[in-house]
Amino acid sequence: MTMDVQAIQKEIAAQRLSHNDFDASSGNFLELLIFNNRFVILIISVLLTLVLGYSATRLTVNASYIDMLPQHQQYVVNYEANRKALRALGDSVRIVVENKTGNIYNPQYLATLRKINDKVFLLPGVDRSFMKSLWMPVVRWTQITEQGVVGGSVMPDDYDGSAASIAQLRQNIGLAGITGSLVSNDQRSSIIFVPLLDVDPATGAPFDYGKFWQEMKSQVLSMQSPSVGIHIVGFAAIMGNLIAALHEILGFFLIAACIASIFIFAFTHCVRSTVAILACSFIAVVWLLGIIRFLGYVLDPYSILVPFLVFAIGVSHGAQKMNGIMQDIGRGAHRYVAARLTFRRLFMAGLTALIADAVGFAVLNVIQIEAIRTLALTASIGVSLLVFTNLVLLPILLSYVGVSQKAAMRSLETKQASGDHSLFERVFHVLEHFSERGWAIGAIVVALMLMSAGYIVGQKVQIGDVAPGAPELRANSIYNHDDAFVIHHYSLSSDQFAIIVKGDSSGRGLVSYPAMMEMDRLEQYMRTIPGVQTTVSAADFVRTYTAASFSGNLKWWTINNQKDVLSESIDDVFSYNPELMSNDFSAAPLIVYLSDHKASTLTAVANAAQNFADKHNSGAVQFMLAAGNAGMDEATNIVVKQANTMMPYLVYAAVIILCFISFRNWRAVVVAVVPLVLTSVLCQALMVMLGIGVKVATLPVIALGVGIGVDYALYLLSVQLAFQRGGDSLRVAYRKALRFTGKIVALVGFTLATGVSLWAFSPIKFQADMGILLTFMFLWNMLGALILIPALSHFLLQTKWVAPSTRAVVLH
Amino acid sequence: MLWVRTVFSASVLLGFAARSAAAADFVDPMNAPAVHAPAPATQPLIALSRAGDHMVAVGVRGMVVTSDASGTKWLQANVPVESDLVAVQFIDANNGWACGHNGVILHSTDGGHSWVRQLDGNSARTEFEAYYNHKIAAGDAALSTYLAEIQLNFDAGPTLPWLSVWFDDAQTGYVVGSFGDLAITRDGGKTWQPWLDHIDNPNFYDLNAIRNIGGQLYIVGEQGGVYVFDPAAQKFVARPTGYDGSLFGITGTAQAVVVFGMRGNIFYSGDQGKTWNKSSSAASSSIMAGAVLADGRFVLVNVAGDILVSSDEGKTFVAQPQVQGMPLTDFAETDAHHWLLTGLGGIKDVDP
Repeated sequence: MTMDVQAIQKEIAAQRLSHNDFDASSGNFLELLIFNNRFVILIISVLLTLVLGYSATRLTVNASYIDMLPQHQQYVVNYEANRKALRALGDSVRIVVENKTGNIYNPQYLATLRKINDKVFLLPGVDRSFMKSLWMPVVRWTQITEQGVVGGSVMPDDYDGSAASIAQLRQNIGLAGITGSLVSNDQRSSIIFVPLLDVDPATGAPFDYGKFWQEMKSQVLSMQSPSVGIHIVGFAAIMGNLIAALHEILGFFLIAACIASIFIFAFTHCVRSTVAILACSFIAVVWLLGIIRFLGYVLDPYSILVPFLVFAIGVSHGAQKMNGIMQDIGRGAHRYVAARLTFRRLFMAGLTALIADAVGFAVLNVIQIEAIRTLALTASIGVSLLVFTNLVLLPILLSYVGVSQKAAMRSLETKQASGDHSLFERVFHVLEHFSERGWAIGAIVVALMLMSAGYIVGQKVQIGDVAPGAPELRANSIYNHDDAFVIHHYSLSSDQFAIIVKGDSSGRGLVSYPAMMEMDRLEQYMRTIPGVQTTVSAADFVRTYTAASFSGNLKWWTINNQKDVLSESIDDVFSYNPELMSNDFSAAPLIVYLSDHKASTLTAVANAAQNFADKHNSGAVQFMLAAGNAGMDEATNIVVKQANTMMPYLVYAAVIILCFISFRNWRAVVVAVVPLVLTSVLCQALMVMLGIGVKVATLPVIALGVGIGVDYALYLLSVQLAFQRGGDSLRVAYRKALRFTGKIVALVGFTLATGVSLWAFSPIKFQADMGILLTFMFLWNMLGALILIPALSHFLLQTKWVAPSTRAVVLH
Repeated sequence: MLWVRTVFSASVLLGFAARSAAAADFVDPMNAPAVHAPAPATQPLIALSRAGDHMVAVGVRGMVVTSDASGTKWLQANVPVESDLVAVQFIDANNGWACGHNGVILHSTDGGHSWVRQLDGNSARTEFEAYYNHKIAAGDAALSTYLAEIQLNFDAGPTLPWLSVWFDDAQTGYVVGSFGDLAITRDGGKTWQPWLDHIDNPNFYDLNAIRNIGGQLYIVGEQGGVYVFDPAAQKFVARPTGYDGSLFGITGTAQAVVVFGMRGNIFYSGDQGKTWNKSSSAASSSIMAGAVLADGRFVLVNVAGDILVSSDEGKTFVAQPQVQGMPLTDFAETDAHHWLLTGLGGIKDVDP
């Protein structure tokens, strides 16, 4: 698989270079199969592109919360198994309608609120019976009177916008005790709480977040005016924002393609070959999207990044193929012959590099998160497609269209002109020095210093996200501003860690004194844990409703061990707070409100809750972790922590094996891998410096960065070794390798980095973080390869150590 | 010696299994010591009492906190029960009683730092039944009504609370509770006797508070009920206000008392309950407790966080402009610049 330059040149000299004289039966079976049927292959490709292209147009983008969670993690399993009891934490949005010019006791404001309320009420997917707002009759005030508990709807039945009925409303709001939950503490805004149905009861179709968010935008957010402010928070709003962001990032793809084409054209100066490379890479992406659609997947926030990667990898490999063909044409070969010869000598090299990429993706499968596995699968498919489109289809295409003669001659000139003072030439001249003792020691010392510093800084890397608000979106996103608004004006924290409470298996299992007492004890215990603001559960409300049935006497603010008293109080809890109890009274959430979602806070809370559960779980009541966004964050952190310790070992094991198969020389493996290790260490330090925590999105970075990053070493070192085995000294061999592949290494580095760096502009924070880190890894791996490979080779890969005995193996 | 090891490890295993099974059993709060909280003074507290130079407050989940002499530092006491406590009274710096749910009565002899159980719903049933049965057997057949009520109240188990406690001295004390429960001790709480037959409460209405004001014992309760103790008859005599809601407490002086309760209702009497008049007050939330200040003003606190003050011995009350951010449960004046409040958010020290 290694390129042996002398052999190539001999081959070209030996072959007749014109098409007619070329021995069409030469080459291996695969080559014969491909080139003797090149027209058929072309037609098949066109047909496939049409079919898959059509399929691709029907591909949708979506974001699935559950797919972004570690589904086998116990917390997630428990959450999924008890979703029905966890209405309070399920899919919902809170629409805050704000009067920017006054308070809510204003007829215009109340009319606007009613309009929005009525529009939302009719939206598909809304769980109308649990919707709450000032305009929903289910929101009631109660008052304990001498005759018992009396109550009514907060909005007076005879509301007519008059001062009297607004005064009545104000009084009812006070009696209902909804300030801080449905009405803001400053009385300038109120909330429409909109619970959503998982599945449409009529059609059975799952809830469509994208469509819901469109409706929100067109019907609700459009009501904003100088006097009316609208803020929407909640899970469906996060998903809606994510999906909207996905459409935005799809647009980045075009920019990435444009930049890549500029790079290629700058490299080739040939329109024909630039178009051919772009076309083949683009075809790979089209096929990939078509196949994703055929497999029934959608593009999610992770898999949407795959086309970028596939395109960039395709362009890099395509450029390599085209470079060979161009040089052969420059030497006078017919385009058909050039294509065949290039295929003959580069197919295996390209295949090895693509396999290395695929291995990087495959390792991602250890992360038990559906979205990451979809990313791994789609990326593997994409890379496999590249084997065909860029290693097979591209040579075929070029065998028809050829390249511009001027560009072909130019490609040879730069290769041969030793006195050239182009930018590349000057850079190469500097790089050659690293194979000398002094420069090599300098480079290695600097690398060691960077490695130590990077390691020390990298130790401080955080697990998870620390910024307030929804970590999926940027801190300055509209969503997170809305979230901050709600936190500041209402007594609600947006970080909820829920413990699932289950009663015994009899009906109404939670209607039991032990169950309620243990819930009360757990709440009391959780309130002592640092980072816990408060807790809410049915047990909490049982005290209030028990006092209510004893004339509101706070001495009866208790949980009473008398069946009738307890049962009546729990019934009251359910009728006023149905989200705190399942319909059959068998399960309930105990919600812990946290001050933040730092990993240390989450772990302390989870450990405390588990500790309590271990001591108090009994036949009467079971406590299980966990639900709520903070519960899911902790579940994810647990999985990420495990994967993060395992991932680098797996990635490096895979890369080391692959390098060993390529080089058959452990010294070469060390030379190839050490620069990658340095990059990985520095990447961790960079995360600390940029405040990026270890999370689901950063796990693929190391796999992709190392898996794709090893390509440079595969290109550079294999050529260098070939020359060394041909008898050249290290310095000469490295110089020749640089001239032969250096420009391609640069091209690969910059096209890959361009492709991923655009993610940094994504509204989705984790995509931006991935983009920044991957750009760093791709560029730094390139630098590391160009500088450290010669430096390390000086000590490990002098020509005398490159055993001639392995030569035979390498050449075949 | 293989068998030794086998037996040893088997017993370890069995011991472990037995222990973990025991740990999973539900422990009733009346059998569990109160859990120590990191910030006890912020826990829901229901009642407050002066104990010589310091204060003692009790609250839910067996919470008892004691202050230092300055009233600024609060320490949690050791309490043998986790039951909700709702009333406390100290007769001096050391001796005090607290009571609450599960029929629990606790006694402290060290100023509230440690407590022992004197009675709970289990022992009360046994003792009260025995007491009435004994008397019925001795010929007092009229008591069978009260025996039946005791049985009815305790049939559901040790659930009902004692809502208020009052000791006239170190020996004689009373507790009152829901559904007409009333008991007396004459030996400092070592033994308690049911006293349902010593009050004019034929419907066994809830009795919410008991207090001795100016040498006169009062009980207030459901249906506007006020009961004034007649020492000669050894009986609490009904002196109803005519109000049909619940009264939660009573305060005042030998000359004037006020009773208060649901929805801000206050009634005053200048003749020890013989006649009642409605006091004037704009606040409409239920009033939980009250006290008389050193300067003679009456102060009441309610569940909306209002502090109501009367300068005319309870005829008119005016709410302080500042509303406290929690439902208030009890009040005590420590000095002219310190009013101590308890509530569902703990202890609050305000400067009037």
